[in-house]
Amino acid sequence: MTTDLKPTGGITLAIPAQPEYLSLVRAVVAAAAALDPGLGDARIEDLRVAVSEATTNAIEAHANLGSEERITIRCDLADDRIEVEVQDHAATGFDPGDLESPAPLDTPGRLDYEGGFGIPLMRVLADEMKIRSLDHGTAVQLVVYASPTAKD
Amino acid sequence: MLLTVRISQSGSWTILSVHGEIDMATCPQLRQEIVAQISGGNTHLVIDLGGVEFIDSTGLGVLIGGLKRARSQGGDLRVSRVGDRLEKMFALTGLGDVLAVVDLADPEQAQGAA
Repeated sequence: MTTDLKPTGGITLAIPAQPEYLSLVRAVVAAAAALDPGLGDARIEDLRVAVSEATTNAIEAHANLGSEERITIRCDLADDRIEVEVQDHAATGFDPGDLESPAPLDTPGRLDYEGGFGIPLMRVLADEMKIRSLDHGTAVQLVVYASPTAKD
Repeated sequence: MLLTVRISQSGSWTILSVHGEIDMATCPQLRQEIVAQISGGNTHLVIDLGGVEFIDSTGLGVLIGGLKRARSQGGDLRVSRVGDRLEKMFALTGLGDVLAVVDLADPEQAQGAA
């Protein structure tokens, strides 16, 4: 008889497109990630920020379009990684090819623009980040790999 | 509320001690507090981040906005008690290059970039 020490499977959250739910999303994703012994605190924190960024963008997409559909956050624990997909249902997705990296903060005039950090942060904090345009909405997939040894 | 801001004074510097999580839900509150201080003539601000459990790019945007506003009024905005986690966020976004980290007891003396 063998015991499967590592839980696999997933959970899905469907939240109203309201910023008040961000904290809940982060808490649930962090708790799910903590089930994986290969994910240390630092990596869980990376994931928490990346998921917060993706969910914030999704909430903004809904607000801009007046959509009342929910945002879904799917969290899958696989053997060697955790995958989180944040999907909005705003009527039109955006073209990831349109994205430009923000200029460094010490560039003259850069301080005039306070945003633009979300997507670059997701790229560096997650091991993989993919944005897909759907017929109705956008899906952002974030992957963080577990390390067999490191606790941090 | 998930965010509280406590105001105190250190010499000519006004300290905003923030507790909680700074994200899209709570950042309007912090922004409003920063704007109110600067409008009231307190243009030299230190944001004490010692009690901040979480910040994302929306929160970082509020700090940038506050810095810009303070400087436009002849003041400055600095940060204090930046933990490892926030330091990483500052480094990743380049915010650490423009935001001075100071000791709460002596906000005049910048400790260098985060």
